[in-house]
Amino acid sequence: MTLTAVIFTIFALLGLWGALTVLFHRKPVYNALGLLLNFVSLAAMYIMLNAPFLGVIQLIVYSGAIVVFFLFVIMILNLRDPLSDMDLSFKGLTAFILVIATLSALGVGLYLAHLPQWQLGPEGSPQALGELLLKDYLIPFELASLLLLVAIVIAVVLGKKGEEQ
Amino acid sequence: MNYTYWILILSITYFFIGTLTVLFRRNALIMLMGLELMLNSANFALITVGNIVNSLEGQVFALVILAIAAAEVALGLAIVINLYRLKGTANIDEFNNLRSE
Repeated sequence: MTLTAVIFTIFALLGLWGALTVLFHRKPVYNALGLLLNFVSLAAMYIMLNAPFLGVIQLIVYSGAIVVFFLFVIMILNLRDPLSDMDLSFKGLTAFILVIATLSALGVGLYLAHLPQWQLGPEGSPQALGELLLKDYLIPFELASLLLLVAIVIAVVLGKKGEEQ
Repeated sequence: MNYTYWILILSITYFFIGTLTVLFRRNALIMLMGLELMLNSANFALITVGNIVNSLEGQVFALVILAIAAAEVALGLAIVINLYRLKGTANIDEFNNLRSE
């Protein structure tokens, strides 16, 4: 194993730890921090996968904005006590078995498929991504901005509606 | 040893943990965190596959998904706050107003 692979594995395990914290920890603040750990290690892995622009955007948008947003809501709702909301009923266990079956089928399919040899693609620098976004993918790009505008308006309306009651 | 396989398996594992969070936690806030985990694992798989097919388009897709995830989490959290104001809890088992008696 090369040094890069070792560092990648370390970040992969850190991300796994963060995800398991989200699943199993009972205090909401720790869940949010586990989410943060997952996002930061994913950003590091993006940078190692030749996507430096996306790694930085991941750090800014996910770890910067979304995790802070989650923490803000936890603070507003005053979720101080540990939650005991694990639902291990029959319905949940059936769904668990189905999910395991589906995803292990996916894993076996990947194993049987002849995946191409690993290689690093072109580097996703801001310039290259910007040229692609503003030439070939202009319409999806503009639609994403429209979607963000609509989301802002709906968030304001939802907040106002709660205030009136 | 093919790295592609292991990275895609890692992405499936993250997706799996996100799915389990949505399935087993009953708090709406934690369920939204599980959704974020799932979206992130999809981004991760897109970037990996973009690398092995030697194209930048995977990263463009990931960027658009990132914008959608930001919009989704803003709306989701606004809804969670409204639900909490309505019943004083974020546990989704409490919200059964549409169930016929």
